[in-house]
Amino acid sequence: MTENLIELINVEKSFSSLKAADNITFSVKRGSIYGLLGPNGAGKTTIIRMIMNILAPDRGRITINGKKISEDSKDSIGYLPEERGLYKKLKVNEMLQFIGQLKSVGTSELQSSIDKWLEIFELTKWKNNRISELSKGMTQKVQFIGSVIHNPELLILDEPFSGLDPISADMMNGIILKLNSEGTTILFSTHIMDHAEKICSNIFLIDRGKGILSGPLQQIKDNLGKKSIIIEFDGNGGFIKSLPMVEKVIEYTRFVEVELKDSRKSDEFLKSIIGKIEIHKFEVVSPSLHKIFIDTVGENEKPE
Amino acid sequence: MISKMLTVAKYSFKMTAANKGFIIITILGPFLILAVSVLPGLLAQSSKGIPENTVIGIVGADTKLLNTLKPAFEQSGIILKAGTDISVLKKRVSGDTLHGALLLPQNYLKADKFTYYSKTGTDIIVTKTLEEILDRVIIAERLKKAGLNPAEISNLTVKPQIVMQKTGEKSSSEKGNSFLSLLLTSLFFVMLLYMTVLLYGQAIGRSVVTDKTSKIVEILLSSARPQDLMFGKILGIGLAGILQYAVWVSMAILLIHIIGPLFSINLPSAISVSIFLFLVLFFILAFFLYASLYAAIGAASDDEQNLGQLSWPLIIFLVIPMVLISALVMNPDSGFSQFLSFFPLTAPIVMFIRVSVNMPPVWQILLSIAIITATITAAVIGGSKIFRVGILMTGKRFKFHEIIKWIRY
Repeated sequence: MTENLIELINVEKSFSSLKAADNITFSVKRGSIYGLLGPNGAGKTTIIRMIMNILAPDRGRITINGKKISEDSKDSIGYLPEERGLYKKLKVNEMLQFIGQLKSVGTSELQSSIDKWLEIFELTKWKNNRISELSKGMTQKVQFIGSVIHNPELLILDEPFSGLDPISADMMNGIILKLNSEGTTILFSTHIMDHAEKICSNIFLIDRGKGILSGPLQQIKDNLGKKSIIIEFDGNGGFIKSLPMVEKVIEYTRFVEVELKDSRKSDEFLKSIIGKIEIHKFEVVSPSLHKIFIDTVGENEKPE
Repeated sequence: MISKMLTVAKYSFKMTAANKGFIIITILGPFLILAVSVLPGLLAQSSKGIPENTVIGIVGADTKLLNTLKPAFEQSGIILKAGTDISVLKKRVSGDTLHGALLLPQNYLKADKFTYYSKTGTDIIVTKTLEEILDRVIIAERLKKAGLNPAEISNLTVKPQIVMQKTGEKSSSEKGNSFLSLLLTSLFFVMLLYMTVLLYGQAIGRSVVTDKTSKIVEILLSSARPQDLMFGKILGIGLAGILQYAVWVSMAILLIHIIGPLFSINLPSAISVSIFLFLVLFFILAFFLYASLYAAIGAASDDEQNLGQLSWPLIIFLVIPMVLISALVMNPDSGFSQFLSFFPLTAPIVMFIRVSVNMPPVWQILLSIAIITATITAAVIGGSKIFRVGILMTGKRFKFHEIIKWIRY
């Protein structure tokens, strides 16, 4: 048993002129939740496909459990690809049976596992419906069940939240955390930083094929300079941007995140906004992952 | 990873066989085949004989000739009616009360042309019969006039007949395989294969393309080796095909037993057991050969349309033996036939033809089988590599050197 379940060393991959992975090195510790973050087209899926041995790297080495991925190790890995696809003609139960049998799970064990997971996702009554009759969100859940049905020790999820409504996304979050607490190592990719922030213990931030940041999330937050201020308010906050002590403002739907030129001057900042807007919340925090993302990747490329 | 391959085979079989279209075709197939193959045969057969109560008028024959002609015609089912005026008879032919009218010229023994009037002008079978009988009777009359006695005449005018006999056959009393029946057996085999490849080969190709376009392939590849996927698919869909054939064959046997006697169809005498076994062997080889090639082409195609375009060369190689079939049956051991029986894409069909016409040396049969098996293996392995590259390249053209790199990876 190695400490690192997945290891990538100097991995490179190009598609004609495009470098999808440029000298990527990172490792995923056993039992961690590892976030592979980056904007669309950064190279996340390419890296995941290389880990899954679907694509071959041009250079570098990838190991799982210290070995190159093999047929046997595939049975202990769960994989949710970015491009979802199921046989539309098959019934939900048949489809999951097929995927489970491909993972070498015994028949009776498999059926109880399928039933358990359908129950968790509240899909039990759809068990004998054809995939083609399901909604997109339900198909997504069936697909996720397909990746965990065999109790994998490693779960690789490519954009697990895309296509899910907020309630289902929260549910997915909870399930990922639960699986992790039961010992499953999880590697997942996303371009939505809020999701990553809620569950990741470690992250790897990638942009245009290059690794930008990596390490434990808290450490990155601490190291990455200035604290910021979260303000929830009513009224027109447009003037905040033009205050002299303000470096940058990131607007969210319900609040704004403000970075000051000198983070010690939060008192001064508070004084200058009091009375102009109705403040519900004023909090000095570590910078959000979203903000780190924007700071490092650049403001030109706005994430979704 | 046999178990994963079998899992893929099981589900491919299920998805192919457990749908309405497949079940309908399986049940209706024999009737459709009956409609296209047997009915024209039945129709042609019924018109082959001369219809009952065919009455033909004759003008210009004296009583003596009539007495000779009448029994000869009656044997062939034609009733002769003597008339005096050809124009009256012609009218009756037009009015459908006479089948036709024969006009003998005066001094008919010396004439070389007789005229036969019929409504259609395409009454070939009756004309042939007339010709045959008149040929015999008139020549006999001429010889009689020249002073020969009737017994001598019939001895002298017997035509020699050729009986085809294969050299390998044991007894001369056995019915020899005529050129025609060999040709038909070979043609039947080629047609069977052609239909099967069109049906199931394309189904396999489509199934591979669908895996790509529906994106499920990434899940499959994360669980099983591509060659297990490919071979499982070929096996599963192939078994569905065999099931369908089994249903068809048993229905055909049933139909022939029940319907056959009603129409008094004589089944062609069954081919020998060893030839039948060779047919089954080469059929299976040919099926897997084309199935694996279709799967490989499917792996390289972007969509079904693309599959159709890329797969036409396969069809060409199926058609080649069909076009050359009579040459192959006539010269089974020529250098060209030998070449085709070793060339992978034509080997199963051509080797079967050679085996059924004139048994080639054992080593040649074994070599041919080895070449076919090697081609199948290469197609499955190469195809599965292309499958792995091809899936991620949907919509993009991939370069040849990339394929090479993947095949080696």
